[in-house]
Amino acid sequence: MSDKTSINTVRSPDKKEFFLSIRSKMLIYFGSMFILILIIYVLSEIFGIPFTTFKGEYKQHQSEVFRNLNLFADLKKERLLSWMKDRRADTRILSKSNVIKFYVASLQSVIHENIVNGVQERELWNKLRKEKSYQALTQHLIIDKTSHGVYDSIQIADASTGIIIASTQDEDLGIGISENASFSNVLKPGYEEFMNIDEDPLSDILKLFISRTITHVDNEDQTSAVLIMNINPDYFIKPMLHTGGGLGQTGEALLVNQDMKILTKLKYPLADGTTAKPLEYKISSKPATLAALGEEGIIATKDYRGERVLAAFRHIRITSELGWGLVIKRDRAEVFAPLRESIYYRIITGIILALLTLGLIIVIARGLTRPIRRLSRAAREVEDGNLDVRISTNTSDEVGVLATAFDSMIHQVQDWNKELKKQVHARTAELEAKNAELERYTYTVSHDLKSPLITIKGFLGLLEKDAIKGDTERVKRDVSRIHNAAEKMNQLLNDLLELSKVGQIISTKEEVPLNDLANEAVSLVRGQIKALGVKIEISPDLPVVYVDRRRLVEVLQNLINNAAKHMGKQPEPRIEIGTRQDNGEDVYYVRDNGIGIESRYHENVFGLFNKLDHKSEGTGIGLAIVRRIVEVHGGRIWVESEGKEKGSTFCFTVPKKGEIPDHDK
Amino acid sequence: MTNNKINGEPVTVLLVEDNEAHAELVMRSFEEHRIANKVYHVCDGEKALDYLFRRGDYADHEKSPLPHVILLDLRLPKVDGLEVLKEIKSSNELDKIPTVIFTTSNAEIDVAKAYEYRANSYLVKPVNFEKFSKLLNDIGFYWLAWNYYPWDD
Repeated sequence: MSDKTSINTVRSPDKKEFFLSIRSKMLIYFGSMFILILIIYVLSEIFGIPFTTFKGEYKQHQSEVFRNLNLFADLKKERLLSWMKDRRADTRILSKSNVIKFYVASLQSVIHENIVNGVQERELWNKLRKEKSYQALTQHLIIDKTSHGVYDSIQIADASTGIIIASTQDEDLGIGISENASFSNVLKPGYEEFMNIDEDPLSDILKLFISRTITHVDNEDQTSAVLIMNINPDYFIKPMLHTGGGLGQTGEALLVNQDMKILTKLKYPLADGTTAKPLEYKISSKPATLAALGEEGIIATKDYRGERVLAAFRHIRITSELGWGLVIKRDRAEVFAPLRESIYYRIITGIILALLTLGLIIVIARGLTRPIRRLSRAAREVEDGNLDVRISTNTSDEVGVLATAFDSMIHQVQDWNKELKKQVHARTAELEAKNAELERYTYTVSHDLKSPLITIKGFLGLLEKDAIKGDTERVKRDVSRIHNAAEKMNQLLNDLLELSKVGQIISTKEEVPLNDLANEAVSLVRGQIKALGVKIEISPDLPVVYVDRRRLVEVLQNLINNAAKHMGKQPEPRIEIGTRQDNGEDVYYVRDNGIGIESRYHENVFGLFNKLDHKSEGTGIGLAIVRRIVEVHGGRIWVESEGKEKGSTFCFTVPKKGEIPDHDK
Repeated sequence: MTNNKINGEPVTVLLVEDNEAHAELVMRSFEEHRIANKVYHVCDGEKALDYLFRRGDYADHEKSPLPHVILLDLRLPKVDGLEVLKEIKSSNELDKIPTVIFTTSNAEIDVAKAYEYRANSYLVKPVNFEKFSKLLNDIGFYWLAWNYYPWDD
């Protein structure tokens, strides 16, 4: 038996095979869980939680920007409307002024007078410049222009000819403007005021024209002249539309007319890189179109550059015929730049957090799995045959319980192992003893069988000689020797046969009163006992024993026989069959008051063919048979004697029903 | 020089043999061949030692003289033959007496043990009587006639 108990059973997960340790599994599970939670959290913060009122930062930011744009748009619209109203009021006041009407009338009469007199055009204007009424009128207009500080120029044209008869710019005098929309439209029936943005034919500059009729000084129903006030929108409207820093760098306000043509210059060049010209470029983006068509609202769309923008659009209705579209917009990219930045930082924070968490998970997993790893390492060692391994953990959690259980299991296995070895040793010793006994047996058998053979042969030889000599005395003796030897041989063979049977027959045991067995045994040897004059006493309180009835009778019979044979010169030979208690064990005995046995022969008496007295009868097998039967029952047998002439007591035990026999322990 | 023993002083043999029949066979063989003047027979190991060490019944030197040769059986009651051999060979007085093992056993262990305890010879009893008789004759001649002892002159 080698020290390593070879438990070479199936090795569950092979060391070389790929498998995930608990630690890496925990890392993967908890790590991915944490990252998923983090992603969901950040996404819900940005884009809101579905089916709830929480809209998320993205939507919040967008609506804030829209609110801002709306505010701006409303403000600008308001300002534009009020500014336009002011300008219209300016024109109305000026056109209704009686002073103006008077001067216009007087100037017209001077012109009329000169034309009748045949004065040439050029001369006419020079003459007119010297006229007092002209100077007064021009003066008046200049004062008006200066006081408002808004207008580029203020002109008055004759209603019938369309020629400018007075202007804040002296060089305008005499220029015909009858073709101009600002002049012709206002003279249409039902109009007294007209506004438009158009290119000034005089300066090629885009201008806002506000024209109004001037009635005759005496007749309110007759139009005598047209007042035209013009403003450079780049100077006045555009600054007014200026968005300032409130809408960021990409904030832009733009104005379109009813035909969706832009009225102011655009902040950015078009998608093809060209600069759009006001009044020529028709804008096609959605908010501008909607605003021009009279709609108002907010929208997220693409602008004229194709850039994604957030826009608020308003319709500015100045007169029933004149309406403009106002668009306040801002680039989406700029609007969400801070959000993008915050997302960026959040991702970085998330990554750092995830790494920290992973580190923490590693630490926790290590802490949690350390005992498990020790356990599995220990299990491997046990698998390799090292039973001395112990985990000896002091944690009280489930792993601790497992480790303790493991330890005690290994301890138990170790104990079993020791016990097994011990048992194997014991069995080996037993087998060796049996083997030795068998060897001795065959040896003694051959020896003891040879003895009578030698005697027979020897006395046969002597018999022949004695017969020839005619010595009848000796012949008789020789024959007797031969007879005895043959008888002895027969006896030996019978006993040997009996002994071999004892070892083989494992007959059924039953519970029988020992008294019955003792009585049976005594009755079998009655004749012999009587001849020797031996008295036999059987104790009345013998218990019930669990034995093979026939075999035990044989034991008692042999013991009684043995006792009877060794009575020596005892005058009152007596045999006693009884029981006593030794350390709680029932011991049965057959006691005699015969020759006794010296202590050095106590073990010898049970040996095969061992006879203490060469003169005693028997073959020396009887006690060997007795010992054999008792041992087959699982009991023990021994002899007690205080020495020569002190009698001897043969004791034996047999296990009770349910008890484990000695040799199986 | 050797033959004077046959005709001279009495030659004694101690026969240690538990089997009465065998003992008789031995003695009759000696008798037949006129070997030993005196054969002393004891039937167990204990008595053999008592005889040799002159204890008990054998205390008288005249009645039980030291033998010239001992014929010793191995399987003996009470004290085993090997035990007797050991006692003889560890005694200063007795160790020079030729001790011939005369037994039925031809077991190797017995032969080995006997020589270990310094037996002078080991003989197995032949089953055939002719041989048995011849062997005892030879023993007589060898040990009692031919063999020389320290106490011989």
